[in-house]
Amino acid sequence: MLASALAGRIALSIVAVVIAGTIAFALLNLKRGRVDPTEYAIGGRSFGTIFLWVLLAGEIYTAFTFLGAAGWVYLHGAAAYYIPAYGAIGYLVGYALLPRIRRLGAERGLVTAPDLLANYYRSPRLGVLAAILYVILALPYVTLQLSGLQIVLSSAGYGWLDGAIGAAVAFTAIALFTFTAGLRGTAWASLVKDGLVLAVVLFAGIALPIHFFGSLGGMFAQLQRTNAALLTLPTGDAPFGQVWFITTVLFTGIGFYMGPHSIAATFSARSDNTLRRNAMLLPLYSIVLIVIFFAGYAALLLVPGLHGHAADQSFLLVIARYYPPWVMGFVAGAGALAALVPSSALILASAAIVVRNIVRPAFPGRIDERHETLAMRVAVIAISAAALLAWWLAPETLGSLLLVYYSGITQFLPGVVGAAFGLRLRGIAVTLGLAAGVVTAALLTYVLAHLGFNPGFGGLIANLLVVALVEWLAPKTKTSPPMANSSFEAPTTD
Amino acid sequence: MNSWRLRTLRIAIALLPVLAFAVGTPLLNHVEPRIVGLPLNLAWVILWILLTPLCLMAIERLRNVKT
Repeated sequence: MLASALAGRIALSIVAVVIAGTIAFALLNLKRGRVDPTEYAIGGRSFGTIFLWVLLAGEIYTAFTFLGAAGWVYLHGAAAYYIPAYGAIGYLVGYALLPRIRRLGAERGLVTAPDLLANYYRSPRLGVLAAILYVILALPYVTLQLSGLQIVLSSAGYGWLDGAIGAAVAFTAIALFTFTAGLRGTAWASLVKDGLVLAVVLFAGIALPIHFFGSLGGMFAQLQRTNAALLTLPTGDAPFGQVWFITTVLFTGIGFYMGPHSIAATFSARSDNTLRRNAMLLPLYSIVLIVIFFAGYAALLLVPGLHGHAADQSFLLVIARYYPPWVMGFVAGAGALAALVPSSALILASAAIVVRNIVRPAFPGRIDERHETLAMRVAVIAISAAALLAWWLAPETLGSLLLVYYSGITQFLPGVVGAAFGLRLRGIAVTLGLAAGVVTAALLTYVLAHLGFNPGFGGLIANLLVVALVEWLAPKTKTSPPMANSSFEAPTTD
Repeated sequence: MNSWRLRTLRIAIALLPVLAFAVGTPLLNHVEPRIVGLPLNLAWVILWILLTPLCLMAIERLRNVKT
């Protein structure tokens, strides 16, 4: 008991130093002076290759990836390979899509994802619907990070301290940091986080198998003797089988960059070439996931018998059992940052959306440019508090909401692709398609649970059908999409 | 090469990793033969993680070709 209290104190002290050090490092790198809303929310459209690398890849790999990918391999084996597979497809889509989105953003002064839809389709209504959907989908994702944080801190506490209180404290710190720092601060913090995560992942994924099984090959030879069925996918349309794999990889891949924070990161890019150069190198980031899989497989052999969510702790248990507390401190520190920094990006994107696409249209003329940054800062605190409260009061509800995060986010694809490629779609078609897609995906997820295929796919098909139907039925005189200039008014008819 | 053929070629190259990951992985659903100790399906995923940047570089090179 005494020993575990001491171990917990050592490990948690290191975690605290890692978090505080990252925040201090990021704050020291910020410029002083007045911060306009564009600087606060999207870094003044000035980010180069390195910041975009960490924002467009690092922010997508959260605590859920860090712990969840190991947990997935532990429970479902080869089905987990869908994660790097959809990532690589996502980067391909990003290569074609993101430079076009950035250009629209720079030409028209867009800051948020709903800005893009409302401006291009000249539909404030679409902007409001998109904004509400984005915030509803993003909030559970933030609370999921809180649960990840709790797992990490509980493991690092060796039972000496309840992880929930630590998670709430760390989350409050990061909310205040986001309030102060904006996206530029988040990018600096992300840089530290990615470096530490990389170091920990290499240790856990390469050193663990070699330490315990002689080599990676030795580990897989043993897995083949004890868990052979896990190393391949179930055939046909079985749960997590081949059909599920194909549909999920394609669907999640095309929706990879539809998250509100990814669109914000795209707007933060300095140039189209920066984004294209990034897209070419980003697939290499997926190697990190492969190494996490090695850690998950090692955990399966070393601490077998975990079920459900407990599997997410699998490789932390290995560290706790076989390594000194200071190692645990750095591993948990990396895990905590992997939860906190992406939360910061997501909260920031949501705050910008709430201010620009919900509050401002509701009270026209009340928030001018000068007060917009302040309004975003207030929204950061409000959203963080809401996430913390919701996580504390109703974690189960949030867990089930999360099931539709990817299915829901991907329903923005027709509208975003249409805008990026200059398609002349009507705002009403995109709005109704979006609504139909989200409703269908939610129904398929909750009513017909455990399909052999990805439920979001059904939603996307409904979405596209509605878009096509409205375009076909609507009167033939249609407004042409505004081409080069940023003016909002005076729709012209063909 | 004219611009239409260039465009088709770029799309074809982009489809290679998509098909390799989404369709290739579930079809190569075997552990044996193991590649440097790794199961065949996992080795396939790793191979294409390394090949995808090369495909994107080829696409980028073709983008800059004058027609």
